[in-house]
Amino acid sequence: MLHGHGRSRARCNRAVAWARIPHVAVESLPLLLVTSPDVAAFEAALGPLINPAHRLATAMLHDSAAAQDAVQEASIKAWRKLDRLHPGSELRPWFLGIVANECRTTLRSRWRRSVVPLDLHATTPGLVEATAVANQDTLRAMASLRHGDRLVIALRFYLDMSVEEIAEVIGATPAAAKARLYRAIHLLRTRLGEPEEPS
Amino acid sequence: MNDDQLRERIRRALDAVHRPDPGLVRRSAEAAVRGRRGRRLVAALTAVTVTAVALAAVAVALVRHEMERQTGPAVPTPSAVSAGPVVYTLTAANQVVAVDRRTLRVRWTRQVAPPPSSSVSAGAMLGISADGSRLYVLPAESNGGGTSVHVLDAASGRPGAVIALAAAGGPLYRTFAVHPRSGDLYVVGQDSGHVLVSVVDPVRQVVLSTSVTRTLPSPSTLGNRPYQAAFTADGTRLYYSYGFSAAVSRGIDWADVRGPGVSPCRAASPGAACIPSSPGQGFVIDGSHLLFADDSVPVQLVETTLNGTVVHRSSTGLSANVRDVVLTSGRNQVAILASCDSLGGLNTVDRSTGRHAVVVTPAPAGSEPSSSTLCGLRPALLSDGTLAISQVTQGTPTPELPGTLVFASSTTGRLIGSVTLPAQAVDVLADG
Repeated sequence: MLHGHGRSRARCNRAVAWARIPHVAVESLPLLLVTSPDVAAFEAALGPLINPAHRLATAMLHDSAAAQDAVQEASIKAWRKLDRLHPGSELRPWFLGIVANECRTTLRSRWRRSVVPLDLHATTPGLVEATAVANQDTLRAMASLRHGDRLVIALRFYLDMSVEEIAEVIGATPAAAKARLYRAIHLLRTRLGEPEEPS
Repeated sequence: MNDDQLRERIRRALDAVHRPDPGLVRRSAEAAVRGRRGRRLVAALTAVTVTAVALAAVAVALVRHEMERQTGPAVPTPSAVSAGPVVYTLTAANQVVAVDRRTLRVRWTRQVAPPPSSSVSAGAMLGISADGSRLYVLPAESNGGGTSVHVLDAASGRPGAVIALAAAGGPLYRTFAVHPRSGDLYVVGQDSGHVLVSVVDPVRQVVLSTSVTRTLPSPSTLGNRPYQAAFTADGTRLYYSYGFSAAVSRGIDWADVRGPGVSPCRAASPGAACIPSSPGQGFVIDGSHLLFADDSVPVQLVETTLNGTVVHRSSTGLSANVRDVVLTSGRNQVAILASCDSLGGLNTVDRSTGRHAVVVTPAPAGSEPSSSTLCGLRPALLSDGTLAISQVTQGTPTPELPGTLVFASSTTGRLIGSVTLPAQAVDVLADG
């Protein structure tokens, strides 16, 4: 019941914010969008999460520009679903979960699959050759992992998230997240040609 | 490699790819808010549209109820219940048959006038109003033509007005075109020695004007068929084809629309058509160009300007008699329908290269064409690329013999289906 009231109140607040917007010419619409309370509210709520989301999307897509697109698309979806977020829920894992899903959608598209190999070669200008080769090997090994495995690797090693936070992002228990992470690390090491670290 | 080393390796590889973007927060915020606004706008427009449609439906129902109260309810034939694209045909026995394109079933049949006393050459004798509600028919009294235009309700075939064009013994009319803006009918006919164009207002049911557009060198040279009439897209000029194989004057003329009348073109020499062709059958207007198949041996595809200057002429290699032409939906090809009795069938010609391709060859010379043979007289191209063809075995449809309306792909010639008609058809028209 409280949750319902909260959702209604959120809608009401946004409705009030929209109601404050006077009738304006089409030409001034972009300025209005920038200065409207909704933009400020977005920046307050999701702004701190955009850069981590961009890092996650880059780790998933290996393409910074495509990652930006994925983050923007995820932002739209998250903003639409913001009312449905349960009170007390952590915003960060929820939003990163949406970003991860958006990356999966992007990877499933034929267009994305066709450009991945090109980006692997185009993103290493100026690097020492050996480093560039090593980076490409790493990216190629990550790209060979399944979406779920790549996701936990990125969350753990690129966003430095704890197992508990990873569990929230992937919607699993901490134990299940830990098991998946262990398996993903093992697979990645195998793909990198490294002998497994003795446990 | 321990976890820290692995972390470092992953971080290094991904940092080489990652390009931090300080403006991403603002762009994401704007995209999110704009997306929400877009959804609200769509929702509002949807609500307005639904409301408008509902109000319109109520208004139509009220009007229909009032009309039925005054005139009695309209009783459609059972087959007219399904709504879909319709192909109309006029048979040589002066029956109009409406065929449902989807089900290939006859929706309704209407006898608009008594059967003529003789066989009737094909021609464009069917037309439809711009809103698709009224069907115009020019039934033939003899092979020379008819003297009145009949108006039918396109949905039910219910007969409406009959507009007399000429008194008995006067000129006979063979084809017409509906003006794209005024909706008036421009009916092309002949008397002994003249070609005429009469302008008819189908709503007020009056003949607005009759103009002589050509005086022939001798009364016998015209033959018996003005065949097809068509307007340019802007409605400023009317083109019509006429002639007979033995005639001196044959080809395509035009007449500019001047108020309620027309101003005819001037030919280079007396008695000749402004755009000579043989024997003056089907043509196509495509923007500022006119296309027709000159029935020489071999057949040539001719493309002219609207003033008749030839801009392209290509030999097709086809040696059959041309019945009619249709511009395919891609506008890059012309489908040529040729006679059955000289291996014509359905052919396509590329407009730019003149390359000729036989889509379907009819039965060998001397053999009777089969039911799947694509040859006939008048074709109509439907929006999905299907050709509806009035199939006949001879050049002149007879009222006594049953006919066939064939549906086939214009690109592959694949037979889609056929509908048996009470008599052989002289014209085919597709709505929309």
